Amino acid sequence: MQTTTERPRAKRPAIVKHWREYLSISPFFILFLCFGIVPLIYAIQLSTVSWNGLGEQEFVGLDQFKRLFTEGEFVRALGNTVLIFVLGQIPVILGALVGAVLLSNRRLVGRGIYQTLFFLPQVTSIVAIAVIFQSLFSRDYGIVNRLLEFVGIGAVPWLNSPWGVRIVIALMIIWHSLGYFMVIFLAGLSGIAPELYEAAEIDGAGPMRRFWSITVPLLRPTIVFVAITGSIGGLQLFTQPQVLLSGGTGPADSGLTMMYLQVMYLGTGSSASVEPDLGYAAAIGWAIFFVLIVLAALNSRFLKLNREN
Amino acid sequence: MRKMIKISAVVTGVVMASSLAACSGGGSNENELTIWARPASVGSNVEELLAEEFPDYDITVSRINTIDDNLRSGLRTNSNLPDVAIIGGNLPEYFEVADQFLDMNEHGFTNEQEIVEWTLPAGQDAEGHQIGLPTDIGPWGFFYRADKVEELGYPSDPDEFAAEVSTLEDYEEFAQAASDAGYLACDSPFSYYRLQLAQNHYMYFDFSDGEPKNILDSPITEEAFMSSAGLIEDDLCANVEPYSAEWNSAVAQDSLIAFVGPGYEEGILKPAAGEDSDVWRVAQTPGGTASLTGSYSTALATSENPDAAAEVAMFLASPEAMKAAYTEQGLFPGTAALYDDEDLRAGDPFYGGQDAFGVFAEIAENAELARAAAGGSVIESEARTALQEIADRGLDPESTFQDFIEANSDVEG
Repeated sequence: MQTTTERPRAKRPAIVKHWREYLSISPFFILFLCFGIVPLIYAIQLSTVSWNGLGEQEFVGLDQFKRLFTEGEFVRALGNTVLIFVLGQIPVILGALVGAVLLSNRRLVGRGIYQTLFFLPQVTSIVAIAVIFQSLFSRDYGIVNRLLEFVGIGAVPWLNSPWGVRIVIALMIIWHSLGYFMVIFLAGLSGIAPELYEAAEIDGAGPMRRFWSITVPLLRPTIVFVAITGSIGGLQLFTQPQVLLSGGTGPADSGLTMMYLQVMYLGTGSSASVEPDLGYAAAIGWAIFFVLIVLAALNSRFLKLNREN
Repeated sequence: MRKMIKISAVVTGVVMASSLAACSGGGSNENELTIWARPASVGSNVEELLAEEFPDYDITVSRINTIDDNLRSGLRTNSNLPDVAIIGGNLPEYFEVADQFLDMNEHGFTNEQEIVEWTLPAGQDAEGHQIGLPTDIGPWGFFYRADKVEELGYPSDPDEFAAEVSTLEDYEEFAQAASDAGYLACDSPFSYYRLQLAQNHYMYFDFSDGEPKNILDSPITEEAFMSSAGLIEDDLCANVEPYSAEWNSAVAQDSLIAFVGPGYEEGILKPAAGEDSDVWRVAQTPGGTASLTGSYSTALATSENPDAAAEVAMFLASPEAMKAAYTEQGLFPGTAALYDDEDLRAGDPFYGGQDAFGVFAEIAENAELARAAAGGSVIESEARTALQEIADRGLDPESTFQDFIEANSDVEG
């Protein structure tokens, strides 16, 4: 009988043992480190200085964060962002859900055409949409007011009043995003077994009952996903007001959103409306981050409650 | 499988190494030059002109909308900068880092291009270094529709019309007559406000002591602001800003029949009115001539070919390059050498054959500098907002003006 004595192999660390695998997934992490973590650390340092981006930096401690609450601009921008979010993002999610349910009806003729038409605005440039909305809602020259005058309602100062500006921006969000959310809901709806609807129909359930008792509960994960991504996107609103208001902030700063305020302080463009201050822009960035964290926490809580129920 | 992982690991390594190398900024060799400019601030055929003039160099022209963002990023790190940059009306903002630009005087600038003298100080920093040379300028004109002014009982000939509407009071009367007939003779109250500042060679700062001193709280600002607010209160303005879709609609729908503005607004007037239109004319502005500076050609000190970069920057301010930029892009030249050019003075069918170039040339030649400072664009923006708030929300002009002065009197130049 021959016995072999195996030498115990030294245990190599996983990173050495699987170096090829680690190298393969490294691009994302290296890029994330370069363009995610490093700027984040830099933003901490930046928020403690006052700097126009070209001259000398001046250390100001936490003054930039105090400015967020003392100068009123950020609070106004936060208020506008929330208002436009409520006016635009909530209706678009509800509208997309209803639209998706209607379009998922197999008896509907030309479903594919409708789906394509609804999705088309999503692939249209936001800048182009903003320019078109500027033309449509012009007080004296826009077709919307011409139509309102034609039916006897009279012209509405859409782009010349605070609420008008917020409503037009909300309408742009609805028009641009409806098709995108609808496609996600349609994907969710396709995962619901048709037998459930057939059985409910045999049991005498009407369309509303089927919607509330089958569609909504089974679509809940999709609804939560859309709510989270929609909220994060909605709170980072910038291009729509910037283009719609031709670089201005609208009457009573009604088009000033959090992201727009940050971009203004970054000193973008040749006709800066404020003196650039990268430190303040960084502080605004942190405030937006904090608002998004709170929102994500609320969403997470909502999701957990849903699961428990 | 193991082989596949090995191959993908090697490919990943190579891709990462090359992409990081690319991110770290590429160098340029001795015969390569890069120019950054906004899409509308250079002629569309500038590459051909440069290739002819500098056959030994490979010159790339990058048309970038966000040129200021890119330039500021580059200047912060002193890397990834072009050799030449054409900067817009905000050139004074860069004087803080003037040492990162080349002084044209040290690279043989003698003004053989015949650049109009009043534009040169606006391209100089506090020490008198010639950082930039004008590639275009903005003489102001009084654009009007000949057919409509005739309808209102005014002469349609530019000289006669200018004589009839020669003062600001005449202009306000003309605007009232237009309004009574259902038209508008003022696009934006802010344009009227700026016209008056330029006519007074004033742009919020006094440079008499060398350093810019904020003199916003002056009778010139007040007069310009209150008279513009007066036009709003009398409903004489369309309240549409040039370069907006609303402005285009106002022109296209025959509502806006006259306006004051810099010559380069011809670039938006023609497409809005229709290139085949022949009813528009241009006259001297009421209240006197006015002209503002435009873009400036600069060369960066980081260039590996400083002499060539300065030469290219100077060429972009030459009559040859400016003639092409005017023909192709409507950019009014800042060189007097072109003001008698036969091709440019031949008359424009859009203006019914009128020598519109000659009108602007006369204004440009006789203008005086309204010198801007770094903080000027912030004050300009605030003035525009204040006038818009009066138009949109009916705010009281007097208190809005006082708020505007209070908020901006300490803006530094």
